[in-house]
Amino acid sequence: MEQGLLALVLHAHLPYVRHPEYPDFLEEDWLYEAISETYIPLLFAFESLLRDGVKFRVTMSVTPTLSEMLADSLLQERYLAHVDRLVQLCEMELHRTRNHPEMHSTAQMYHEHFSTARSLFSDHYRKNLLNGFRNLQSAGVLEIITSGATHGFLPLVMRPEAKRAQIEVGRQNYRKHFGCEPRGIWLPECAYDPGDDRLLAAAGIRYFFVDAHSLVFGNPRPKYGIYSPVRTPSGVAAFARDVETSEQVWSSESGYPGDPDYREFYRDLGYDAEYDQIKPYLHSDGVRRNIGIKYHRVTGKVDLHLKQPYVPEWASARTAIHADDFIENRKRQCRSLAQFLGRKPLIVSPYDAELFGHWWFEGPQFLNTLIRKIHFDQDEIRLVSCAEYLDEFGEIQSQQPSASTWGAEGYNRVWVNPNTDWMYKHLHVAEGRMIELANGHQRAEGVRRRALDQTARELLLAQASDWAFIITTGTAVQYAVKRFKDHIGRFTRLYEGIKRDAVDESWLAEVEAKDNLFSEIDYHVYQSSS
Amino acid sequence: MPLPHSSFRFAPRQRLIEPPAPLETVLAEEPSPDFGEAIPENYDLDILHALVQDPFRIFIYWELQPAIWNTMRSLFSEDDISGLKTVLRLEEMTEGYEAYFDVPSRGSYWMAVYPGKQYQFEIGVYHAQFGFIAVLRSNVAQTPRGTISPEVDGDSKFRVGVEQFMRILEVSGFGSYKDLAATVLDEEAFEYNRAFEHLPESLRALIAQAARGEAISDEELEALPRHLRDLITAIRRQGGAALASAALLHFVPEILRWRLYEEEGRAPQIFPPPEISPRFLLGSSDLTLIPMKKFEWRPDIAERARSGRSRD
Repeated sequence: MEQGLLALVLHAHLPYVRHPEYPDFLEEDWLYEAISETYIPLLFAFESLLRDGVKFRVTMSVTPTLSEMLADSLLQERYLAHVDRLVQLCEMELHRTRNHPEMHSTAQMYHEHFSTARSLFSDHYRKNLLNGFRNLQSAGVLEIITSGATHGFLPLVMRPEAKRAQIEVGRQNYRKHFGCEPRGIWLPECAYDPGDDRLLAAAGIRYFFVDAHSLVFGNPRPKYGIYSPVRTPSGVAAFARDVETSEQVWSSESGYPGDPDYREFYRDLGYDAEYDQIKPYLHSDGVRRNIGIKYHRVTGKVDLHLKQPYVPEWASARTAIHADDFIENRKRQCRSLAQFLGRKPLIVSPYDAELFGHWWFEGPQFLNTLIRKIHFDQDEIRLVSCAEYLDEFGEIQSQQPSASTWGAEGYNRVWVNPNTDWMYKHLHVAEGRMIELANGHQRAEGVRRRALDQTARELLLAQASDWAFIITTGTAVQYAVKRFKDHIGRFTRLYEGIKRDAVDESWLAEVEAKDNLFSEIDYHVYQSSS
Repeated sequence: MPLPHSSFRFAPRQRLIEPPAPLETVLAEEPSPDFGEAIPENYDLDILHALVQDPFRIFIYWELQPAIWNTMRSLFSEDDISGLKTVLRLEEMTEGYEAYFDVPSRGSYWMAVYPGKQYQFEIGVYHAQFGFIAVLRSNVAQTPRGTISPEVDGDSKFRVGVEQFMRILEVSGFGSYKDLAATVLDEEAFEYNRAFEHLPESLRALIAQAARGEAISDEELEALPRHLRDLITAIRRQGGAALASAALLHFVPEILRWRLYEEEGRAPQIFPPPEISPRFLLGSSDLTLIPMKKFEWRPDIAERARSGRSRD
C-alpha cells in the first residue's frame, strides 16, 4: 500500500563557457565531460526505462546556459572532436593493457562507453542532446523546468527589473528550446528571498525549490515540515529539499559514491600515463590533467597510489545493492512520517545532475536500477513530479518561507564574502544602467538595437552565480575573475557607446560572436513597469 | 544543519598524488595570466547598497562623489566646512535604534547585525553643531530570522502542535543542532569545547540546558544579548520552553564562532572564518561613535551636487 511519494529532482547546470577565439580552451571541457559522463548516460538510462515500460516521473532542470551550449553548433563540433580523441586514446589503451587483465576489462569498458557516447550524440541525438530531453518530456517521464537565465543569484540582485529579467529570459529560452511554458523553476543555488515568488507568479511559474530551513524556519510554522510544499504569498508553491536523502547520496563519509568498489575520481590516466603517450590528449599547454579514464576503485581511505584496480562488474553489483538500500530507507521513512503526519509525505530529493556520472561514475546506473525497482519491486513509494503532486494534492498550507540558499550555512555567505564583495558594485551599477538604457530606448533599431540586446547579454553573463562560487571555493579563480571582468568590461563599453551614440560596429560583431547566447533576447525585458 | 553545497562543476580537481613532472622541453610556454578586461574602479555615481550575508552580517558599500563638497560649501560657511565629516548611519527599523560610523567618502563595511531585523543605512555629513545630514539612503536589508517562527497557523487545518513540530525538527535533519550542542559539551571535541569553555558562565549554562533538552526560564535567557533574547522569549511564550531550547540551539554555531574569533582573531577550521569584526554579544549600536544631535533627511543634496546647482 502506498505510504509516500518521492520526487527525484536533477539540476543540470553549467555556466556558459564558449571560446571561439581559441582553438582549444580548457574550461570548455566542463561541458564535454558532462556530456559523455552525465547527460548521455542519463538520457540513455531514461530511454531504456521508457522502452521497458517502466512508469516513472523525474523532474529535471536544464538551465538556459546549458541549453544554449547544447544547441550551439561550434560546441557540438568541438565535443565530437573531443570524444573522437578519447575513443582514439581508448583504442591505444586496449592495446597497452592487453597483457594486464586487471586493467583490460576496464579499458574495454571505456572504449565502449566513449564509442557509444559518440554514436548516440552524433546519430541518435543529431548532435543536440536537447532533442533527447524534449522527447522524454513529450513521453511524460521527464518534467523539465527552467532556471534563471544565467543562474544569477537573485537575492543579491538589487533591482526588481533585473531579477525579473533573469526569470523572464530563462522562461523565453525554455520556450525556444522546449516549445512550451515551464511549470517550475530551479532558483539558482536554491536562493530565495521573500518576495521573489511574486516575480515567479508573474512569469506563470507554479513551483520552485528551497532548502529545508526555508520551510522549517518559515512563518507560520509548517504543519508537515518539509514533507509537503507550501503556498507562498503569491500562490507559487515551494518544495523543500529532504536532508536525509541528500546525505545518503552526497555525504563524503556515508554517501553511496564513497563505496570501495566504485570508481575513484582522483586517480586518472592523465597523471598515470607515460607523458609522451598522454601528451597528444592533453591541452596545448601540455599540463597533465584529468582526462576521464580511470582504472582504480575507491578501495578505502588510502593514498591514491594504493588504490586497487577497478572491477566494473563489482561496481555494477553495488548499484543494485544501493538502490535496494535507498528504497528500504525511503519505505521506512515514509511509514514513520505517514504515521505521525497523518498524510502521505512527499520526499523531495534534489541533486546536481552532474553528480551522476561525472563524480559518481556509476550514478546513472544507480538511478536506472532504482527507478526500475521502485516500479517493479514494491508499492509503498511512488515517483511523482512536482506539478503532478500539486495537481493531486491541491490544498497546501500557506506560508512565507524564510530567506535561504542551499550553500554552506544556508544563506548567502558562499556568494558574498570578503573575496567576492568587490563584484557587487559593478553588478548593481550595471543593473541600473541597463534599466536606464531600456527605459530610454523604446524602439531602437539597427546597430543600436543590436548593441542594446548585447548589453543585456553581457549583464546576464556577469550575473552568473558561478563566478562568485568559483572565487569562494578557490578552484578556477583566474578564469572566474576573467569572465566577470570581461562581461562587465564589455557591458561598460557598450553602455558608453550607446550613450554617446558611437557604438563600434566591428567590435560589437566580435562580442556578439563570442557571447552569442540568447538569440531571442529583447532588451525591453529590462524596462521598468509604468 | 544545511549540507555543504557540492557540485561537479568546480569541485577541487587537485592532484592527490604527485604525478611525474613533465619534461620542460615539451611544455608549452606558460601563458601570461588573463584576468579579463579592464573595468572601472569607480563610476562617478552616488551609491549606497546593503547586502545580507546571513542573519548576523550585512555588507555595505558606498561611493559619495566629491561634488557633494561643492554643495556643502553653498550650505555652510568655510569654518563649518572644516568641521564636516562623512558618516554612515545605521538604522534598525523594527525598534528604531541607530548607530553612526566615521567613514571615508568611498568604501565598504561588514556590519554585525541581528536576525529577523530590518536595517537601512544612510551616508551623509556630520557636524558637531548641525548634526547629521543624510545624503544617500540604502535599500532596506531584512536579515533572516535564523530559527523557527514564533507563530502557528491561524487556520486550524494547518496548526501544528509543539510536540509534533519538535518531531518534525528531528526528522527534517534539524536534530543535528542538538548534536552540535552536545558536542560542545564534550571535552574530547577539543575545538568546539574550547570555544564553549571560553563563553561566559551564564551562557554556558544556558546552552548546556538547551542541549540536554531541559526547559529554560526567562531569567536564564538573560545570558543572551537582548535581540536574541527577545526572539527566543517570543518562541518560549508561544510554544513553551522545549521549543525555545530547540530555537536557541540554532544560534550555537554563531555564538561559538564569535567567541573563537574574539579569543584568537581567527576562526578554526570547524567554522568558516567570520571575516568581520564580530560583535555578537555587543550589538552594532555599541559601535556608536557620535551622539546624535539632529537628523535631517536631505536626498536632494546629492542631486544638487551632481547638477552643480547651489542651494536656493
